[in-house]
Amino acid sequence: MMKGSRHIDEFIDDVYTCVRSRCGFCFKTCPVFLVKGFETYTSRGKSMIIKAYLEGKIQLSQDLADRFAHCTGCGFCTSNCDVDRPEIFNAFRRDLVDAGFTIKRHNELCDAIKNHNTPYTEDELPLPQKYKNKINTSSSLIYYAGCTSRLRERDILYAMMEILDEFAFLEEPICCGSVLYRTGNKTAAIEQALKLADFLKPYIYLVTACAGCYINLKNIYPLLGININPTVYHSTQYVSKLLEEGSLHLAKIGTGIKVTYHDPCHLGRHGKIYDEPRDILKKMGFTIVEMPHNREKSLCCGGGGGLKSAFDETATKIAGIRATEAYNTKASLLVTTCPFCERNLADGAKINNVPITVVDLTKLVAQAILNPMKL
Amino acid sequence: MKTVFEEIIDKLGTKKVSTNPIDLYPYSRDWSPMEHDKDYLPEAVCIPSTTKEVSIILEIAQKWKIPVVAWGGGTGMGGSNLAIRGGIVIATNSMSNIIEIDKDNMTVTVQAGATIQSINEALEPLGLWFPHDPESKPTSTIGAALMCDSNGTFGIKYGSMVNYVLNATVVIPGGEVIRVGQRKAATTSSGYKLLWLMISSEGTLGVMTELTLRIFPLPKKREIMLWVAPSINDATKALYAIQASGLCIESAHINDKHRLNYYTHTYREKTGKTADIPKGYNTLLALSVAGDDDVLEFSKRKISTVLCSNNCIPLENEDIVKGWWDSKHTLSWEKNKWSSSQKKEKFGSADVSVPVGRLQDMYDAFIKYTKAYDLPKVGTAIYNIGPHISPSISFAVFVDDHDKEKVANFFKYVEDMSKTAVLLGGTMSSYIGDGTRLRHLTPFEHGKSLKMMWKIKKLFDPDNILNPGKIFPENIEELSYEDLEKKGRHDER
Repeated sequence: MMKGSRHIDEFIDDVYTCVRSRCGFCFKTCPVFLVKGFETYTSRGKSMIIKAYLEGKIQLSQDLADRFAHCTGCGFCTSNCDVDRPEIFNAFRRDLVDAGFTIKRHNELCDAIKNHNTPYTEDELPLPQKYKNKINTSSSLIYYAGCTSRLRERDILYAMMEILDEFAFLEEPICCGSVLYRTGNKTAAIEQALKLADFLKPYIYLVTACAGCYINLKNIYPLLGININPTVYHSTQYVSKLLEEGSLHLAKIGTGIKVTYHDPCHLGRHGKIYDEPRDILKKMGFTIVEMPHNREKSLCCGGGGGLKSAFDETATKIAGIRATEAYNTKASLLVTTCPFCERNLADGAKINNVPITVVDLTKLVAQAILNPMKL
Repeated sequence: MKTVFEEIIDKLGTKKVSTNPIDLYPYSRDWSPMEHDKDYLPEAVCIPSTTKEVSIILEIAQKWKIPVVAWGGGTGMGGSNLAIRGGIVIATNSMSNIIEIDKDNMTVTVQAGATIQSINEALEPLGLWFPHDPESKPTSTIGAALMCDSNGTFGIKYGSMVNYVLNATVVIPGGEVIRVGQRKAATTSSGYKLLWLMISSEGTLGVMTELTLRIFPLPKKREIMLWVAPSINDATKALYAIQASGLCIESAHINDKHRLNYYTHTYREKTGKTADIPKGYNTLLALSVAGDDDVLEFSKRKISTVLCSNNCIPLENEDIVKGWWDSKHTLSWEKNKWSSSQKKEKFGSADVSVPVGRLQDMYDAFIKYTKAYDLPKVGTAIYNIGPHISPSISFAVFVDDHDKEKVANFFKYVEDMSKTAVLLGGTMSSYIGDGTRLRHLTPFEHGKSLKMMWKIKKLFDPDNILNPGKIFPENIEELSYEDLEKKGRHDER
């Protein structure tokens, strides 16, 4: 590949800024470093590798693709730095993909999205009639559930449909393309985004309970040069809005119950939404005990960036560390606000024998509306 | 026949050893100024979890006579952790457990790869504190802090690593594991102080795997005070006056105007302005006191009285005070100071120490040599690594690492500053260590005693496999006592 035609060339100064600084403040809760142990997996280490590549000392290779796929894109490194690390690594991944060095499992996901509009291959279950009754195609609000809620974490889907009175809903899942972008497939990500943007044209508001979809629609689409019509809300923002307007009332289902809250990286560090989920929990009467790593210093669950799909063992080990941190707070519940985090944290807790229950906040809100006495 | 690395992999497993260049490049540089494209590539990197695993590596390395370099946080500034002759890097940050917090005896025992910040995160919930506090604390490991004898913010009250460390586990070449120190006792008169020999030995005698450290009660509250004095000598006199008054301060730093500007990074971020100080006042005196409210109130009042009668005036802008402390201790900033400040040029430092009465002379040399070598000034930061007033100085500059001549000039600057410090009755390194950058000058600093140091080194490490090419000059083997006497500082002959 000729110099100047590489995606990484845009970030050469940033790479050398890291090589000069070497502060290593990106190590502390780099989730992959915590599990793998080599500096290779840290942001500082990756800068050193890219430096070696830029200086012609190493070539693009499958091993490099493997190392750079070991990143959840959680952004902890950037929260301690003046350089946008995930964007550097996304660019380098694009160079790897362009050179044909890809991860098999990521290719399968990408092919599935291209062919079926979703990374998952299973058929979607039919919606219960009571939720079908709430769907109104002419509503100004679309509930964009995201592939994981629609196909894997149906409880979150139903919970959101309990919370919303009336909404438009895509007939079939159409992936937002987050995984395409984060695994280095920018062209495919743009194509997918354009497809979805077309479907979203009629709507003024969009709400999603998936932190990954939220940040992709909100922050990444503009980076890809794609503007969508509706204003994007995460479910926690939307519920907060409804509470503020007085159109939603939540029972105090959490009185006397201690919970801890896991900030999904895409919602917290990337989206800067920290207070809304905590405020909703407090409104339901829960007592929040924070984990040592919270808000902008939160520890990733390990599920993002295509890590879980390609390297599940590493992803669930990371989740085990986070679940243990939650367990040590003596909270009864580990609450989060992203189906991907919920799934991976639950897997991590189970595999690592950490006795804590993981639940998405959406489900608690639905519970507070539906059946306030149940908890 | 198996290679040395295959033998290690057999014992440690593939997940703890790599010879893939992709995994080696992250360990090819420290924070030393060097040309932007320079690197020192090891042949393998190991991430052991236990003393036993380190022992296995050193046993096999001894058999093969292959270099072994211990690696901490990789933030050193003198090349101490660089594998300049290849070999094996032992990344100790894979050994980061807090082994025991002993509240009754006020000690903590940790693995050597624990970061200084992680130690305090474990202590803080118990109301305890390990006060060694370099700005690199989120990354720098306790083992490396001891092996390079780094300085810290609270030195004037609590001292340096020698004052903290009580006991250590060290693996020596061949894999033998020894314990050095006095267990948990504060002091000992028994035997040679091998523990002290390890301090600033830069991993040339053994690989440290565990340490026991003294800890202290976490102060309830802290007050930061910035004052300015006309000169460095005025600031020093004022500091003596504070000490003479009987006050107990926990930190005392003297900065020139350049360094004040550098340290007030968050103030610049917030206001877009440089933290200026009144005309005629060229030196910052930054102090902190910690404890209960009434003690702080009294201390502040008394410090004010003493400093006002010693030609100092206060800097009362709260944003400047906060900005300085953000940089020095809390490390809370929107945009990381290190990456923000090194987008074009690299930070580099001469880390000399001189007797307190020669500080102004040393500062004059800083002005002279930065001008002579055309190096932009980051500025002067005088730490006190105490107890009492005991300067450890960072005379820092920016280096254009894309310009070979500028990098060469930096090393000439370090050499001239180092020689000046020795001639002023001081020492050429006070927190970085000799590493690769000063090894050619150690005969000048130490004279004949360098020969004894080499004999000690050979006693521990007869084949010179531990961190070779550091501290001692290349031709140390051939240098006689007479040669070293000639090379040593003139007044020692």
